[in-house]
Amino acid sequence: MTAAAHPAATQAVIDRYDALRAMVDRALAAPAGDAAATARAAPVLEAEARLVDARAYGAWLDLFTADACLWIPLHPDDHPARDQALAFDDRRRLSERAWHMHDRQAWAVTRPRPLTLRHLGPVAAWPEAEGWLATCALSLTHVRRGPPVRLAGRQVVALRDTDAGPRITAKVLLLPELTLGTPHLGWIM
Amino acid sequence: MTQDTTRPDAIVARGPDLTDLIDRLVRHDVVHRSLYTDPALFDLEMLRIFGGTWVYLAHDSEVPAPGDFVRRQMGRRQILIVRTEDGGLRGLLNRCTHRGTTLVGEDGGCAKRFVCPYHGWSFGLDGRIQNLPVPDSYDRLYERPFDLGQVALATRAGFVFGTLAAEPMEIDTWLGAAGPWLDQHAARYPGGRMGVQRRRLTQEYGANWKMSWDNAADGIHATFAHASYNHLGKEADTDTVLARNPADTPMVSKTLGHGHCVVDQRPGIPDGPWSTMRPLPTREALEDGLRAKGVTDPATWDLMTGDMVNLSIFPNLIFVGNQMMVVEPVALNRTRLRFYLTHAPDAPEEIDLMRLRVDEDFLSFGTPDDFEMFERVQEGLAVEEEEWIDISRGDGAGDVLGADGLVTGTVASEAPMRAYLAEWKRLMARPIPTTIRRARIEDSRFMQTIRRREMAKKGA
Ligand code: FES
Ligand SMILES: [Fe+2]
Repeated sequence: MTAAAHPAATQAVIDRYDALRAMVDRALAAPAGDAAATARAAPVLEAEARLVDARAYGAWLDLFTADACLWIPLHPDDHPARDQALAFDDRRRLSERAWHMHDRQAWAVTRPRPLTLRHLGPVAAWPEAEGWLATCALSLTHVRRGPPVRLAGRQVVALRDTDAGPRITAKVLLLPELTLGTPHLGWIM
Repeated sequence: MTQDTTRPDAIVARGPDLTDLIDRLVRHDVVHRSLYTDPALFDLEMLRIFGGTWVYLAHDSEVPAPGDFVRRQMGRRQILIVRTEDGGLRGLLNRCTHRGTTLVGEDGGCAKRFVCPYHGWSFGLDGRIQNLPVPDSYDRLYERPFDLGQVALATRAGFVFGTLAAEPMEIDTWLGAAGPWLDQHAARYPGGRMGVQRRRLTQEYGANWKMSWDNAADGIHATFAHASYNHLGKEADTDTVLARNPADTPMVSKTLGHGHCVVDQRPGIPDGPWSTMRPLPTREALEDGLRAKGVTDPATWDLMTGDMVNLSIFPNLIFVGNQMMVVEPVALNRTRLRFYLTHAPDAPEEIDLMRLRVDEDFLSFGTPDDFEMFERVQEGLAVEEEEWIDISRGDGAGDVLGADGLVTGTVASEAPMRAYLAEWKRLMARPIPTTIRRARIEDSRFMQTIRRREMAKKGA
């Protein structure tokens, strides 16, 4: 099917998906990070991880632009236009995740509330036409009921400068363990 | 029956006759906790239920070309569903006939043959042994049954089932009243062509596999266990089907025989499935795209989400939304669910682009609560002194028994539980004769030798 066959609205979705995939490929194959770009991006990644662990969801959401997305593919090679994912969130669904984490009837993520810790490895970042591209390895620990859930992976993040400083426009979580299977990840964001 | 298990054509009925015990454990209105807590019963289930009856393995469309294969689980056995050169399907045991090494380590792919990495034996797509290094090291190679073991396969509407039962029920008889529901599900896709995504989502819960069956037709839990999901719907001004008062919904549940059942939610949603959809990522753009293409047919729009018919084929296939959920028991208190997202290759592209996003919603905000309930039930069932679980709901209080022996009830009815447990009882009570099929048992030189020997013995 050629791109011209799509209505503009559909094409925009496909373009967004292609751009996300290309962004991940770029980050994984990039040379050593750029010092200035890393200095701008690293504090945002650190804050994002810390705020979500602290359940400071308002401040956490403020780190994302209105057009931001979160993509969690089931395999690092996947494409968002072709493969089922664990999650592909727009900003609205991100805010629903935040709301859900506080809902006392969200049985799987409340009473007891989950204790999570996101541990980030060193950040590498590069300047992009618009903003920056950043990546780091990370480990996630989730403790609630039953055995702790420990996941390791890598995140790839796109950032853009705004009046309020650098903000996240896209976050991709690559978690190899998803290929084997995990307990439910209702808490992931 | 040939009980000598050293023979490749052995038909063996394994395990004890438990008719009395099973009768005591599963009554009409109560079931004993040991069905969820007794490791010996779990071991027997792996033989008699995930082996002794038809089990869903794959969809025909997943292996379109010769050599294509997918690896699936049937109880504790890995099965390779393979498209052969003549276009047929085989269900090969992923187990080298030399020492037992699994032949394939991936979930799927395309192969010309299967070569064992341990000592290099190779097998054709139909399971026949093709080559083995140093054949002279065997005294009478032709006597050895080295072709790969296989399960019997049968297909209905593209859905492929397998079994080790020596004399399995005809697939259409076994599906019974569920057969037409399965046909109807497949017919919903344009051109009758349903596809299955190459990537499946795998999640596990810490509880017995039958929790999925207790839940499959449980219309009441949606209002309570999924309260949070329903509130998300309300926030977005979308009344999800689950949010309605279960007491006055016109949805019905039906038992379909052999443990199968269906919950038909359509009577409760006169505006069709798509009307129940919440806002979703990319939804507005893809709706614009569909409108720009002039697609107005409600059936095409409804194709973006499930058909609101929750069909469950015992023991391991449950249709939910746009997905097939396949139940894989791992241990007594551990269950793996595989979510296979289906697609409509002949529909406008917007349909599949949307289907990619639809089920993430419930998996994020709904499924975790189901898992939470299953695990908490398993915890609660640890109380040995509380031995029984009530399953009487609906019986004599709303259930309607049809002339065909099948029960229609409200969504509160536990008739689907009683029905699958009746099938469980039928399968678990007595040993089921099973056999491993092989490519050429009947015409193999091995069998000819056996026969010749037997004749010689009779003559002597
Ligand atoms: S175990 Fe497969 S060739 Fe030896
Ligand atoms: Fe549920």
